[in-house]
Order: sequence, then structure tokens, then C-alpha cells
Amino acid sequence: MSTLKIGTYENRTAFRPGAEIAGKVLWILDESAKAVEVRLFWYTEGKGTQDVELVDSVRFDDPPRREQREFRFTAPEGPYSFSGKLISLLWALELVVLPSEETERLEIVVSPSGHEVFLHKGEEIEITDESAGQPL
Amino acid sequence: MRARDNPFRTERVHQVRYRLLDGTWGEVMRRLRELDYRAAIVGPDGSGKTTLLEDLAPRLAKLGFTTRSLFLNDRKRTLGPTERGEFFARLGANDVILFDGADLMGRLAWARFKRRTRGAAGLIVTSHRSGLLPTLIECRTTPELLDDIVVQILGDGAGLGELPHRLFEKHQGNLRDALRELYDMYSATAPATDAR
Amino acid sequence: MGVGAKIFMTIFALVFVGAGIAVLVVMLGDLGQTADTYEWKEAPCRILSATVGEKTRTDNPYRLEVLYEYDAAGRRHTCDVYMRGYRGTDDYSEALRAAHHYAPGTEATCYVDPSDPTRGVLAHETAWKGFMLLFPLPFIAVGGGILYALWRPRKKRPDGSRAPEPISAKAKKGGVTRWLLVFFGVFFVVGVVATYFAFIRPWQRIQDAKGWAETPCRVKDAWVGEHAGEDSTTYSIEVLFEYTYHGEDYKSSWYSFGSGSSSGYSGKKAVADQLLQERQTVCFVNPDDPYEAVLNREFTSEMWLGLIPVVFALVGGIGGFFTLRSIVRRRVLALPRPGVEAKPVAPPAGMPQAPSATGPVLLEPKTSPVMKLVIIAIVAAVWNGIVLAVLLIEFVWFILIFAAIGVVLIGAVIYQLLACFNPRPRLTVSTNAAPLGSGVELRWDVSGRTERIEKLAITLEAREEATYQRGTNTYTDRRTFAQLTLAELSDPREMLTGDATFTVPPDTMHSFAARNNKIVWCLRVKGSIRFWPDVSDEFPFTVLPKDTRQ
Repeated sequence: MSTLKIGTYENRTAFRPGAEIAGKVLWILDESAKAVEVRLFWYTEGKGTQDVELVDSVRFDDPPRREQREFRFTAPEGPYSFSGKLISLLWALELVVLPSEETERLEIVVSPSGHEVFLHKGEEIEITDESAGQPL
Repeated sequence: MRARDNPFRTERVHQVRYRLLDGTWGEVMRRLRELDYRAAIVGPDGSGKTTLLEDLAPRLAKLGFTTRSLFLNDRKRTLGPTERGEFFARLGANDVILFDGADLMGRLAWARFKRRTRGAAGLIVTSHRSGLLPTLIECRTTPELLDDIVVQILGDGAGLGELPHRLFEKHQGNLRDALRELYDMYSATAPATDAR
Repeated sequence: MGVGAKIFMTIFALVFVGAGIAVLVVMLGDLGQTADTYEWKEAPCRILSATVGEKTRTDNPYRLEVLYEYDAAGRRHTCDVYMRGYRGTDDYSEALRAAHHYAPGTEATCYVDPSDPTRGVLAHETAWKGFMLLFPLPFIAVGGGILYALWRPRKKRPDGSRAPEPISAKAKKGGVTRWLLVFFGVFFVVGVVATYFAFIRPWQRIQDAKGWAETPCRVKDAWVGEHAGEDSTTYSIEVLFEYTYHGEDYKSSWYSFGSGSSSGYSGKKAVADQLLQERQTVCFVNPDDPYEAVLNREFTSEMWLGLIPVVFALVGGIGGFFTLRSIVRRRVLALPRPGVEAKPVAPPAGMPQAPSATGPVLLEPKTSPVMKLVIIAIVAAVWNGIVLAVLLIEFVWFILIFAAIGVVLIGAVIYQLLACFNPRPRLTVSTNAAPLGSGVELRWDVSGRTERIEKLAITLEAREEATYQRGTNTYTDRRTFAQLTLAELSDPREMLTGDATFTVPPDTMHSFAARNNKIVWCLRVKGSIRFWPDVSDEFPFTVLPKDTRQ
């Protein structure tokens, strides 16, 4: 199993739109690879089918078995990281070895406040199993 | 509750693999071999046909086959000429075709499709009705199965009491709809506090 | 689009494709028989005789019977073939015109088979016949295109694998199709052309015939023609009458300007019997072309059937308009290229557009009442058109089911028609795409009788929309997460016109649209009216990310 690490400078995981997302990746590969890519993308989770959008990437062809490299992206103006009842949108950085597709992922937040936008503030009810009368 | 935290979000539900109610995987693969890898997975909506088809893929890969996937659904009821052309152009003698929703294909189109795939190593389809190919498994669901799935998804060993059984009855065994209702119930519960 | 609508459109498209292919096959067979005469050699010939043979009460009862001679391969040959595959015509004028053209004693050009000089023809099939092959192609193209547009393949899913793949590998590119425009365009053209030939042209001829000369004529024969369909028969009035115009004798077989046949035998039989009884009657002769004469130059009720193709033109026109509009509005996004370390990126897919205009913008409702009415009316017209056509060909057992649905559709049309008379709100905003936290000026104007509205509310709303596909089913869920009341009015005077300023909530999510998941913002106007369809309009509104320059 290869060793893959991805990290941002100052261990930042929150970025405002337009900010620089920079850091380093490290890989120690079990076997040689065709390429190693660092990807910036967003994806959804929730009740709907997942959507994924690759926003930016940097590719290192014919990588040495052991290497450390820098990456720099610019956080786009959107979409913001958010969570609702049906949909959450998450941003992440992924280090991917090709063609084996070994992966290491780092979740980040992109939003003006630096925090995930929460859609349904203040709507909370308790659901009980009617037969037991206990909250779930 | 945030969508990403909802234990019944689609990505989490899709991680639950097919559970055989009768027999073992070894028996299933043996039967598949007896049927010359041309068989149908039959069952009603929400009974796990697609999941079972997906779970066959790595097992077939272990036997040295390459799997090729196709699907039809209520929004896509035919294979377009481009998709069909590309598919058959790349179809090889070592390929097993995994075809989800084959019963949506017209009779004539299905007969033609079967004929054209004779050269492939296998063809396994999902269908709501029997008759397309010999039946490999008839997917069925039970309240206990839903209960087990819920326990697995929640991950804390505890279940939801009688709720899965009532949902099972309400949705007439359609586990997908039952799990989607559980999603709705959980999404209405107290959210995680706003990170700020 | 719902499953029911999709099934309906699929059946509709299959009918188009099937009919087109059937016609094409017949035409190709027909053309194949006659096309080889184009390779025959020209030869001068002399017409020996030319008359019009009559065999009334048969299909194509009138036939040019011609005899001509020519020299070929050192010998003189006599031939009586007018055209390969010629079976006669149901239009006496056409045959008479040809007979006069090939008057006995005239010189003409004929075409001789080089491999067998005894075989000749006087004329080729018209080139129109080749062009006629194009006629069924649009039907096949439209039907096939509709089917493809409805059921086009989605991207393939990756093979199952236990090892978790990178989530970023699932990123898909969006797709845009523009050929829907072509198919709607073909639909429109076919509808217009068919309407022209089926209705407009006969109507024009009726107008022209008002100036035709009233001339005594004698009915030689009159009968009811039968046209056998697959499961039923339709009928038409067939007639042959003779007249003299400016000293020349003519015959014509035109009863009226309407073409085609319909159900209903007895009425037509009565007309034919009356003509046979009277024998002497009047006809109307075209003074510019005396070969053309008609007994009945009035508009007949069956000619209304010629308007059925209008529905296709409407569907094509409206569908084409909305397709063109969506193409114009769509943005093209580029994904970043690999190998470039850092650069400013284009906004990712799913992101809303910046304001399309500066200054006040009049918002358009998502679907206007009139558009809803048009759409429902088209569906009802098509559906009831089919019922009507079925009625005419007497598929009695079919009528009941389709008519029931037709009644429901008519009910929906009436409901929507009533809604068209509702007071109509118009919203004008200072910008149609506002960043989070920004101020927007809103003005409303409601035309019509606002006193009928009990309460009018204007709200800014936002909702999540999540679509899920698994197995053979698709589900879409919606959940509103923001609702800001901008105006709540019960005074009709205040409803007529007013303005407000609102601030787009700053700490929430902007507009977003991916393939399966969306954040949708809108301005909603709701007005309750007692015993009448409510005023209910949704105006799409775009919320942009915060302006980071501020």
C-alpha cells in the first residue's frame, strides 16, 4: 500500500472564494505509476444522486517513487460549501495515483465566512418511534 | 440534521451490499456457472437487484472475466445508437455483460440484443419479471432484512425498534422507499449546530 | 417530464417513425420500377391516337390511352405505353390535358430501351416522384429524434469495484444538445406544409372559384368511392361530368375542392344519388384554365380536417422557440486543463450567471398562464384530434378510453383558460441576479380586477431540489429553506402597484444547478380568489455569491 499525504499550509481547511489553496503532497509508491494528480473538486451528498465536479487539477507525469511536491489553486467564487436537509455540498482536495487510483482526500470548506453554510437554521423537531415513545 | 450527516443519505445506503437470504455466494456462483453465465436477477422494486448485480462484478473479475455495464431506467428506456455502437464495438469474448433494467427493452430489441451478445462470455440482467433469461436469483425482502440494514447503517448496534417493520409494511417490501422515508425522518431531527 | 407524458410522446413518435418508414418503403418500391427508363435513349415519335379511357367506380378510373410510332434499330415500332407504372388517375382533367397535349398527328419525343427497342415510353415519371421520397424522411427524423431526445443514453457507470475510487473520478462533463431545434423545426415545417396543402390551398381555390364561370353540365356518373383502411373504410363523393366551354368539350371529375375521404357513407350516397337523378346541373369553370371545373365550390365541413396539421406546426413552433431560448441562455464552461499549476479558474459548472442587464429588469414568470394554456391546449388538441380521427374511421372501441382522457384534458384547458383571465402580476427588479446580502428594488404591477383577490403575497423563496435515480426509478424531492415575505396585501389599491426594497439574505446559499442537485431561488406571487383559480406565479430569480470585492 502506497503512502499518500496531502496537506495545506498552516493546516488551513477553510478558504474564502478567491483565496489561494496551497500546500504540499507527499507520496511513497509501492510500484511505479503513470502519473500522480492533485485535484480540487466539489461533490454532493444527501438524498439525491451524487454530483461531482472537477474544478482544477495538477498532474505530475512519470513521478518518482518517492516525492514531495507543492500545489496551488485558487478557490473559485462558488459554489459554497453548504448543508441542507436534502443536499450537502463539500469541497475536497484529492491526491490520486494513476492508474491504480489509490487516493488520499482532504476535506476543505469554501465559503465567505470560512464555515459551511447551513440552510435550515432553527428547524428542529424530535422524531419518535410512535410505538416506543422514545426519540430516535 | 445536515444532509451529509444523515445516516440514510444515498452514498451511505449504497455502501450496504446485497445480503443473500438463502444460500451462499459460492452456491450463487456455482448456479451461475451452470447457467453458462446467462441469467436474470428477478424481483420487485427496491428488492436489491441493482445491488446484487453490482456485487457480482468483483466476483466475476476474480474468475478472470471482464464486466461491461449497461442500464435502462424510466428516463432512459432504450440504448441509443451511439451507445449501442460503442458497446458492441468493444465487446469481447471474455466480457460478461451486466445489464440493469433489461425488462424495459422492447421485445424485438431484446431479441436482437441477446443475439448480438451471444459471442460474449455472459449476460446477467435485472428484471421485474421472469422470462428474459433463466432466473439466477429471485430477490425478496423481509422486515428482518430491513432491520439488519438499518442496524448496519446506523452502526451503533442499536436498531429502531418496530419502526423498520412498520415501514416495510407501508412500502410493501420496497426497501429503497423505506430507506428514503427514514432519510426524511432523520432530516427533520435536531441539526448539528452551525459551525460558527 | 412525467412518466405518462413520456409514454404519450413515445407513442406519438413511434407513430411518426412507423408511418414514415411504411411510406418510404412503398415509394422506394414504386420508384425502383420506373427509374430505369431514365437511361433509355430519346427518339422522335409520332402520335397516332390519344384518348381518355373511362372506367368509373374503380380506383384511378381515368387513363390516357395513347398510341405512337418511332424508328429504332432500323425498324419501325408501335407502342402504347405512356409511362412505366402508369395506372391512370382519379382526376379526369389531368388525363384530358395529357390527351390534348399528345394530339394525334403531333410529333413528340419518346424513350426507347436500348436493349429491347420494342419497349418505349412517352414520358418519364416526374422528377417530383424522386423528391417525394423526401416527404416521409422528416417524419422518420422527427419521430426518431423525439425518441432519442426522450430516452437518450446517460453516461456509463463504472464497473463495480471493491476498492473505493476517488470521488473526483466521478466528475462528469455537462452536455448540450442543439439538434432538438432541428427536429422541432422539421415538425414545424411539415405542419405548415401539410396545413397549406390540406387546408389553405383548398380554401384559396374556393376563393378563386368565386370568379369561375357558371356553366351548364351533364353528370355522366356519380358514386361513392370506398377507400379501405386497415380496420375500416372511408368514403368520398366521386363524379364525372361533361361541359362545353367556348365551343370546346371537356370533362371533369372534381366534385369539390376538399381532398381526402372520411367516414359517413349515407350522406355521400344521398348526394351521389341526387346527382344521378338530376343529371343536368351547373358547374363552375376556371376561365383561365377550362380543364378545371368543379360542381361544388363551397366550403364543406370535412375541409376542417385539413387544420389537423396546424397542431404539429404549433408543437414545432413552440418547442422550437423554447429550445432556441434555452440554447441562447445557456453558458459554455471550460474545465481547467491538467498540467497547469495555478491559474484563475472559470466559474465551475452549476454556478449562476452574472446579471444579464443593468438597470430595472422585468421578470418573466416561470410559466405564464397563457403558456400553460397553450401547452395544455396543444396536448388536448392533439389528443382530441386523435379521438376525432378515430371517430371518423369508426374505431368505436377505442373512442371511449381516449375520449375520457380527452374530457379531462378539456377540463384542464377550461381551468387554465379561466386562470388566463386572472389579474396578472408583473414584477420589475433592479437586477435579475443579485449577490447575497445585496439590496434589490422590487416593483409590482397587477393588471386586471385586483378587487377579486382576497390576499396577495409576494415572497422571496429558496429551495433545495434533489433528484435520485436507482434501478428503473427516478425521484425528485424539494425542500424550501428560505422564505422572505416582501409584501402581504389585502387592499386592492395597494395590490395594483407598489414597491419594496429587500435584502437578499447574506448568510445563505446562492443559486446552484448541477445535474441532480439544485438550489433554486424565485419570487413567488400568490393571490387567493374565491371560487376561481388562484393567482399563482413563480418568477425565477438568481442569487449570486457574495461580491468578494466588497
